[in-house]
Amino acid sequence: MDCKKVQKQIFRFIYGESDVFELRAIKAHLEICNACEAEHKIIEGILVQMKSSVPDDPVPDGFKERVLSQVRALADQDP
Amino acid sequence: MTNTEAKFKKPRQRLNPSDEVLIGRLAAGDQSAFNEIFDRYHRQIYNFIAKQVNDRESCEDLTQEVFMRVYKSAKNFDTDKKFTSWLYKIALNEVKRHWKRTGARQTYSLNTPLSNEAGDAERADFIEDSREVPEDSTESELFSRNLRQLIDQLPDKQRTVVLLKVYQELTFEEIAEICECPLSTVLSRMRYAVDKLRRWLGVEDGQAEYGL
Repeated sequence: MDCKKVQKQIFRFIYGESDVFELRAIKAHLEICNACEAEHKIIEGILVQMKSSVPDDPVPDGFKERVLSQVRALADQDP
Repeated sequence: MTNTEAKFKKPRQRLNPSDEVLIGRLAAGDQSAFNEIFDRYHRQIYNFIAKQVNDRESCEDLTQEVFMRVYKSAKNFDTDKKFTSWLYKIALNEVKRHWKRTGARQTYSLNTPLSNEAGDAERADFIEDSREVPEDSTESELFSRNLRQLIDQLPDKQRTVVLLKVYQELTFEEIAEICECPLSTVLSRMRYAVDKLRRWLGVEDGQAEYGL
């Protein structure tokens, strides 16, 4: 696999979505290509930062009850 | 397992009963199936929407609307499709409708709204500005704030892919189904988005910043 193909598939590789053949070919390429390996590490680092730097927003208290009561009302209207 | 796989490959829990079984039960009138679906997904959907709208009230309303639609449309669910793809497609459509209703996509209180294809110089100025407030913010809070604003400024299609992949942890195949486009298009959007964020954050080849 050449650099261009590796870069095209790098996100699937990082997220563990490559098929077994792609996985093998990309791993082999990264072992011998410093440029692609460096790129891989940078992208991986950015993705880690993206994930960890923007935390989830907590669902407000009582939200579940509010939605379920709306659904019950809807079910009562249209049984 | 490599480091990469350990960081990103999250084993999917096999749910029992499956989502598709639950939606079938809901379609047949089983209300408890709706409660189960809601318990499984309301946090994810709330968070998916929260990253795209500015106020809590809209976020709650839209999340509620998504689940009301699930309830009302359960009979229309195509059993050949994956439930989560259907659910996120509903959520995405609700957000788009919201943007249309409110006139424009909302952003995180930017001082200077930028076009989708904003240049690097403008972006650098913006980051500099946002670092000035609030005064007691820590470095990581500022970074988080900047990153959130930068993601918010991505073009819609790229931002949707980033939100569904990085924060909702869907597969690229699922995202392609939700966005109704080929897998290769999803991967390109992801690439463009990450390259943009990388430029805006000043992460150059071989010299990563922000502790990367």
